[in-house]
Amino acid sequence: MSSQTKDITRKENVVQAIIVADTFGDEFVPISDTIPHALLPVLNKPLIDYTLEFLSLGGIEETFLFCSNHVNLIKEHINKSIKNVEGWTLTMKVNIIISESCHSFGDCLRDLDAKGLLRGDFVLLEPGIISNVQLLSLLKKHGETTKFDKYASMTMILQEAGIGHIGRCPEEEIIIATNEQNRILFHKKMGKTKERKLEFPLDIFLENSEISLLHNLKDTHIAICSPSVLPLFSDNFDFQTKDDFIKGLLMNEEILEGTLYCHVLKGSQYGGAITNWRMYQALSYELQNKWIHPLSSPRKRNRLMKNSVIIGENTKIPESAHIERSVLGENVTVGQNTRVEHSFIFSDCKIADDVIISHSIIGPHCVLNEKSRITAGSILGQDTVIEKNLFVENTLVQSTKPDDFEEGDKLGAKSYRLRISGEEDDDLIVSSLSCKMSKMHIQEDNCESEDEIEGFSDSEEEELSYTHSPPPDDTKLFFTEVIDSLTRGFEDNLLCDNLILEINSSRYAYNVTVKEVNFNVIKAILTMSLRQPTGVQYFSHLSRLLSYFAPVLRNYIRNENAMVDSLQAIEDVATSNEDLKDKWVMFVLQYLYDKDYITEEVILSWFKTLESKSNFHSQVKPFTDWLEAAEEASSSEEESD
Amino acid sequence: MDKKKEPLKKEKVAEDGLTKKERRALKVQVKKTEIQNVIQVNETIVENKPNPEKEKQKQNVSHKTNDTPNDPPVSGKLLSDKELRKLEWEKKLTDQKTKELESVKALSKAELKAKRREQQESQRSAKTSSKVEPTPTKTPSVNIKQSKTEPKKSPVQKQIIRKTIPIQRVQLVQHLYIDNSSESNDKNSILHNKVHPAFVRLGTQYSNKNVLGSNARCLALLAALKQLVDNLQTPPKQEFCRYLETVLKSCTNYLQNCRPLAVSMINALRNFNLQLTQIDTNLNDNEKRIKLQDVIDIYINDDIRKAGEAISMRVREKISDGDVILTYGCSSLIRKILLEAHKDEKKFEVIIVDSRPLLEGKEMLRRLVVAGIKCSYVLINALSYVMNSVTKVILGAHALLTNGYVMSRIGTAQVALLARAYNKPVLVCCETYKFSERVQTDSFVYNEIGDADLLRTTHTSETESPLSKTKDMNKLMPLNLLYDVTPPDLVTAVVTEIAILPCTSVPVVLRIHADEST
Amino acid sequence: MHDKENLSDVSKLVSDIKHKNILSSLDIALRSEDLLKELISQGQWKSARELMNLVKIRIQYIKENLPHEATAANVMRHVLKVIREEYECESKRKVEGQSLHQLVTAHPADVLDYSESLINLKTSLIDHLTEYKVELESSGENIAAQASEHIHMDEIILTVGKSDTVEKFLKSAAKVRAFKVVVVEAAPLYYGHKMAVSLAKSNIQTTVISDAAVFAMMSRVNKVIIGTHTVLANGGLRAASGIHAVALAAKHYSVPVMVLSHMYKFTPLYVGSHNQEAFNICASPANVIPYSAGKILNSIQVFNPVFDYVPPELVTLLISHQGGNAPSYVYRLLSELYHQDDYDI
Repeated sequence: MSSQTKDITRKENVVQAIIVADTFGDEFVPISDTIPHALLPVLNKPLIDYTLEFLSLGGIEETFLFCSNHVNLIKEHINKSIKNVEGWTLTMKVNIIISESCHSFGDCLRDLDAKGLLRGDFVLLEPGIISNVQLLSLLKKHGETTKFDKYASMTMILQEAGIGHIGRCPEEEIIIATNEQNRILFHKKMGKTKERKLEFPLDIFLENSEISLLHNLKDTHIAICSPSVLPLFSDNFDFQTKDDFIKGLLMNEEILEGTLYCHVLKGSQYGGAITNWRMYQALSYELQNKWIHPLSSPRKRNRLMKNSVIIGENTKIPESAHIERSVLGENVTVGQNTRVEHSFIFSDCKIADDVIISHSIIGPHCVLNEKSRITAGSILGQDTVIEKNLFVENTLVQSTKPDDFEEGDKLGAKSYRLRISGEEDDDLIVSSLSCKMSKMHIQEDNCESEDEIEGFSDSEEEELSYTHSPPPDDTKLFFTEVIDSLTRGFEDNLLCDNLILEINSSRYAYNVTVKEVNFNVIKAILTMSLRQPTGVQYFSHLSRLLSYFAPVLRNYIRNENAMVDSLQAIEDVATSNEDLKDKWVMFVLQYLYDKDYITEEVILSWFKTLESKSNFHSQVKPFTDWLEAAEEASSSEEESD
Repeated sequence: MDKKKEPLKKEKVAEDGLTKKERRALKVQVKKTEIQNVIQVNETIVENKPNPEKEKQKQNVSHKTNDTPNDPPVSGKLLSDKELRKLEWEKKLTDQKTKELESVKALSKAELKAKRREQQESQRSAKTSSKVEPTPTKTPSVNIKQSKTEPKKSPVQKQIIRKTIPIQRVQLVQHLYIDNSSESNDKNSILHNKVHPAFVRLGTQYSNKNVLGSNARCLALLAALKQLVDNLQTPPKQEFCRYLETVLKSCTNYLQNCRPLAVSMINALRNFNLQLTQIDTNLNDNEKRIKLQDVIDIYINDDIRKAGEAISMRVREKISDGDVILTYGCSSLIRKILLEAHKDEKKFEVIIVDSRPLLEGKEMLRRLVVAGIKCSYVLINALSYVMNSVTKVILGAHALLTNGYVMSRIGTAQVALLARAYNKPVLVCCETYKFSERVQTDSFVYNEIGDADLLRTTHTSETESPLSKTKDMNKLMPLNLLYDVTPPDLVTAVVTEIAILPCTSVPVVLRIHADEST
Repeated sequence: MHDKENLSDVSKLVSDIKHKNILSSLDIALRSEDLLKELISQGQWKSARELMNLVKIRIQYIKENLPHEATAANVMRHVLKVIREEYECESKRKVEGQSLHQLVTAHPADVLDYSESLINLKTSLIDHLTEYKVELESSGENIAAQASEHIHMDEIILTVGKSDTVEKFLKSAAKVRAFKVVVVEAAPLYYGHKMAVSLAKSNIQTTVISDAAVFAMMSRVNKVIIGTHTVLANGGLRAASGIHAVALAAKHYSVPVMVLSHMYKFTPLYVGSHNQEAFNICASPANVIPYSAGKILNSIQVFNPVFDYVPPELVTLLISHQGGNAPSYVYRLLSELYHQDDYDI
């Protein structure tokens, strides 16, 4: 069962690590039906190899590898590595522990506790970790922690990562509260809940003079544990995962006599775990971009092509194929005019001509016939054959008939739709999967502003989480600031002069141009009006608002340029708010014109610059028509102020 | 933060009710009240000096439970002091109306001194806290206003700081250190009576490096200048322009003390002074004001904005699909060019080279990435790694010297040198208003020395720099030069609004300019 | 596949280098030397040819696993030459200096095949290796001893990052001369900071500048003294990234560039092109831009190369323990160090 490599003489103080090799979930179906999670090829090298190399470089001398599925494959692989004298075999002993009765992370640890193999502090790895963390210094730090807190049972290793970063898994968003000693007082995994409100227990603020609330971290899934962790798992049979453990420990600190600490990685130290396909994609990219240096893709087996493409041995790409940001395994044949983007193709696949693959994963030995299209997070299991001209989108496909086979799931002789990610289902697991929309990151470059606003409204957290991220656009900030000032000014009935002063000071703070100031102030006033109910009183309310802000308007609409700016602001508001009343534009223009904020000439010349077919154009048209008609009648009145 | 202004304004109702409809007048009025108010606001901030420290303890949540959410910590504290401020305001209001600046003096000397010290400390802590802050939110403005409160004091404060730390100087660049001897400072503090608050603020912005880049600095200066022209009240029996000249002189002296003037600023000021002498003396003050403001506006519009646009157009012609453009640091002009070229749907990549300690390139990177340009980012040591794939090097400039040398952010010469080694074309973009009559053949003749302590830090490494603990080691000194000069033979061409020229054409352009202006 | 058992010694060395248990090149050189001594005295070989094969296998193993590690392979390569020489010596058939005439007229039968089993070979090899070890150990001091020849009063010396050899060199010069040192900090690793502190502690007037200020500073510098990772066969260098720019700046201002290098850094390897993929390695971008920068990292590429190629025309002098040489002389030094047949293993 256990395999010895080289005798490690020092039996005392051997640095030990535990790897739990199974996810016990169905994130990787259907690929995981044939390939164990640990042997998933990452840049054409089995995942477990990276983990073992990391442990070896990190200074670990003995590792317990826990497997419960595909045991023989893993065993075979480890034995092969030992035979080939892979780098890690020299400094580390690997024991494979087989436990087919285990059905969760917690079971594995209970099993280990029963075996009594661990002697001191140890490193606990969840499945799929790739990292370059120096473990010895962390173990030392944990040792120091245990000196002043004898109940310290676990140090979680966390890493700073900005919101929206590809390596930060949306399902694993966490918020923690720590005290000065980095002790975790509060821990919440945000990913699973949709709530945007958090309740922190008051005690933690009362008991500590200083608290840090951190939302800028990702879990590396590496933890340094005291020997007391295993008995804790044994005593509490409801601990199924590490999260259960953390939750349980924080809730019943006194009873369980265990405390949690955290350590935030600095500099070039990196940690991450492949827990789902998104993270698979993220870690593949980060490995490629050297974030996990010195771990890297095997040079011998891989070739790096342009457009960040990696291909394995005996794989050839024809001239006419367009491949971008993808990884191709060994012995893959690629047909003419094929497009492959952001995808992972495992070894021995056959891709015919004119196939399009994007954001998908193609399992080993698949055959894709002519003109098929595989897109948007599709996962193809081993040996799948895709028929000619077939279009597969966001679907899991496997080669054998699934148990819950239904009519319409059959895509071909050797391809069946796997219903787990299909239609909406009441089943809990299914719904949680489908809400992910896609199993891969798909072009998330352009949704910038959304996320920023979505974030967390609590200012502290926001600031903390953005500690090192670049400042958002100044003009945008300026705009929100202006809206805030004006809204408050209106509600509290403040003098407009004060508001002008405020706006001016924000203007200097954000260093925006006069043009932007004019534009944003008008836009802010108009946007404010939109917040009101759109009933009958809407226009009366709007005119009340405008007359209230008359001094502000007068201050900013001073010359013709400013008039044009304000007209543009109107256009901006009108076009970005679809549900405005038809007459809104008319009304605003009329108002500004009547009150002599904007002159006729400016309106007319601005009107000429508008696109004549646009919806907005037609909204303004009646007004300018009226202006032109009125021109003859009135001649002397139209002077500014 | 915003709320604190409200109570102050209330007393002003009567005055404002009388404001004329005529816009110009209103503008002048508003500006005036603005100054008064800002000064007032500052007084109050001084009362609340622990604020910045408070910000620093932002993580200390337990203290913060009283505060209203969404407000920065400052506001909570300020509100609590509302009443106190109101009282003070009322008291001040009487003498305020006539003498704005004198009112500050009203406080007793001893009081001032004590305040000064406290303020200085709070400023320093504010500075450190603002560094931690991700966005340039409200702290900088707090800083600015604080310094505005007691304009004359800021240099004195600095003096105090300097005295406590033994000054380390690299002998080689002895001549470049700004002299802060006490006598010059005393002189300054007297001079500052005449310094307009806008300039005082500007000075702090310069010295804190809140306003960076020669274009930005020049624009900020012109904005302040406009404000000065607007607010200036000629004392009886003095001619407006002459008086303005003297005031401006003291203002620029003050700025020079905060941070040496950029070439762009010197040229802009020279232009302004020239126009000042040419103004018709028969006009009344208001007309002169309007005229001078026009002069400034024209300068901003023509010499800076339009020139930038012209350059941008020229360079865009030179950018073609498939180009890999290397740029260094964060030049506002280059950024504009690249963004506009991207809008023109040119397909090109950008490699941004950056260097410590300022790492301005990060800002460039952020803006280009947001615009959707494909970017790579390297530090200056990786230049030769990336240079081979580059097709064009486009650089910004601080100034173009008469002998054809390009003065620019430190490191620019190195980029040009490496580009030359790899035979890549180097384009320097520079508006003609940055052309200077100075001559300089190496970077030591004239330069500016930045905060050397920035070099004692490391920005991404796991461990602290060993230098951080060696401040008392007199054998060890970091040196942080801000500019270098690039010899003309490393520059393929200079793109100006007039034409694409070789570097050596600077004197020609300067002569044309001289002809034009006389 | 060679039998793996015999390679355990070299794989231990490789793993130690990878685990960063041995850091400096001198330690690597000494370890490799020890390894070979062990091999010679304990290994299973009968003739010089067998021994040479064993060594060659080890060189290949190192090349495969640590493609950028030159020191260990160079030491072994040198030992190969030692074996050849000792064999020739022992077999009394030493070919006196290979002149062109001899090469042309040489009879195939005259070519040594190193297959004879000689009794004294082992002992003489061990002796020679012991000598070699002494040479390795004293190499640093020998280089440092030349310092006063190159550094003079009131000179300004510029150096980049940290090199043990340069540090020793400067400190040795400081004992007799007063001069100033400008240290380039070499971001993003900041070895220059460590170097500066160490020099300042030895009472040398030290100035730290950022990487960007090299060109500006160069106009005042009298000499550039740097260390290197390897010296290539054409006299060029594979040195820390950023040194190319330093050397170019020095060339621009006609400042001499002196490179301190141990003999074991001379590598019979030509790098003609700027093919960075094969020549360079990239470290983690985290040192350039922190991982916490967030979303922006999704769409950009960040490079953090470790090495720079410095062409030989930018190097004025290579200083080894034997004294100074021009880069154009490197080919000759190489032929003294290694046997022609062992260049390409």
